[in-house]
Amino acid sequence: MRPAARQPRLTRERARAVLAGLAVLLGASLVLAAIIGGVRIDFSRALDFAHPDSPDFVILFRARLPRVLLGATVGGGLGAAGAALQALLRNPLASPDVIGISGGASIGAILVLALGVGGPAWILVPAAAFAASLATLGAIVRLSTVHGRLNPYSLLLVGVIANTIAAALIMLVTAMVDSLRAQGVLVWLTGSLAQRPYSLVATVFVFTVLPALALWAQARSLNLLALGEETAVQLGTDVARVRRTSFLASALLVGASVSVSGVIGFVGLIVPHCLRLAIGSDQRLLIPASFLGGAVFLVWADTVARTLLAPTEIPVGVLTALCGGPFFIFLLRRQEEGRGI
Amino acid sequence: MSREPVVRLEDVRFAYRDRSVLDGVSFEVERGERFGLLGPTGSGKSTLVRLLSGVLRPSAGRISVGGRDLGGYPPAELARRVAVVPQETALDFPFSVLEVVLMGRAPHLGGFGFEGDRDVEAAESAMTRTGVADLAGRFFHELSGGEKQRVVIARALAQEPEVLLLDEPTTSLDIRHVVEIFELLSALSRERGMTLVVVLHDLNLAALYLQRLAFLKHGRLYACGPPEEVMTYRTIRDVYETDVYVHRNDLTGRLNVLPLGSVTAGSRT
Repeated sequence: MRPAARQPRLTRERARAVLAGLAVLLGASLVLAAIIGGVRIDFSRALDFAHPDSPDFVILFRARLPRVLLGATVGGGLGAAGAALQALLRNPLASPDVIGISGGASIGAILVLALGVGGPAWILVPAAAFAASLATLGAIVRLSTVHGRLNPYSLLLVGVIANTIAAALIMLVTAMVDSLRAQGVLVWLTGSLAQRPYSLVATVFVFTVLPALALWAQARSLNLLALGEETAVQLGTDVARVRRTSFLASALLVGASVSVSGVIGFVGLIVPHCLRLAIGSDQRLLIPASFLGGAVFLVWADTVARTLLAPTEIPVGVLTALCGGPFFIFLLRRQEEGRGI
Repeated sequence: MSREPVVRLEDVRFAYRDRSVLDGVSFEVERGERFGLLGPTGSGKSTLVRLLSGVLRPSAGRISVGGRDLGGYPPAELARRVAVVPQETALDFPFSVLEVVLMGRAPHLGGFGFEGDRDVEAAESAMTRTGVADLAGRFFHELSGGEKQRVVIARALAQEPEVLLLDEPTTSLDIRHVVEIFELLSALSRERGMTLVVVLHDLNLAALYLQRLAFLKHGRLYACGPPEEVMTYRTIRDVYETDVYVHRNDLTGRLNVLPLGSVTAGSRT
């Protein structure tokens, strides 16, 4: 006797309840993560707005809070992008980093960082990352399309190759610039959320929330794509428009996250996958839930990364890759053995 | 049955790049009719289904549904009139049976809506009609082939279409499930006056369940009419390039087709 699906269908009420629960969880995580840290802070001084120069105030509001907020934003964007990409590419193993989009985006950002192109970095780096992630996504989709159909295994292979090429190009760039710049690139590349000003956090927030909402608006069409492109058309979906909008929004999300925090891998894989098991495959809930879930996940991953070996910091990208790599292999094995999708 | 064409093709041509697939096909399907599209692999049957469901557009000629040119339909409106049951459905993600059937309500819903009572009712009645109501909470990907196909037919019924297009709907099923599906389809056409256009390989099923057949060969219409008229030794030999024995079945009163293989050559000499 096989287990029945947990809920026969998604209702508006259930979607609201799940999202409210995740929102509360995120709120609590933001507060807790800002409190927790290598240095113990005194709250009476940290919350004393009359003296914004006290070390406690600076640690809480200048170091931790922006970092926690940025973690939530980047994690949310990666979670939503992962959920949408899995539906778009009809592949539960797809995520921005696995299929090479993050790698592609990082080339764009690194070229600007390392070569020191003239102009304001706060807009040039994201723009370059976005352009590169869009170009990479387009190339990957084109290369893994065989006879008009997207081949899921070609997609993973092309992604591996794209990542390898990206890594090689990054090494080339770092070899060509002076050691100080190369060091900066390396620090950024391992994926870090530290020391970002509020203005940058706000910019990234806007460029994350807007495309995430655009993806959410496509949710029902993305559901239909699971039946195959042709059936989606026969159910009245403008598939070309849905794909265009969703690819563009996903590329924006990846570009925004990579430009500010480097490559933080596997968030877009782990979060939607676990949520799908818990709440079902309906994208109307899965996309916003992956946003909130991704935010919670990365806030805590970063908290662990900065406290585990304090005062030494583990780059958060290293931590997520160490957890995510084995998880990916587990999923791949499960899929190959035909035990569920 | 009213003698009113619901589907009409006039000199329809289609080519994938420069390879011509359909070369001037014309026929009409009447409202409530059970119509078969037959012919060897590559004769253009599945392309016709794609054209009729708006996935492809003809290179030349005219296709109309309900008296209106297909080019003039917004995608969702066409989907409310024409539903398609493909040969096989593979889902990439775990959706429940009810969720899959509710996807048939997509052309009736607005951009981002949740399904209302009316939609759930339509889905549940479709599931009851195809006998899958008790599977509602099961995962679609865990069902057997026959169950899956009945769920997909329920999804098509939930669309509440006038025309049901079926592209070899029973190819991957065993004989019991094949009969089950065709009995269900015949009943639906009788009860609801639903028009069926079925792409089929099995000539015996076509003779048993369908009222009129179109034989395609190399993208052209070779013959079109009731099985009694068109299912002859000569037509089948010409269309499929295979020798067959066509005879009347004493029990059903319908025509049966048996391949002869090389036995004929031996017995003639």
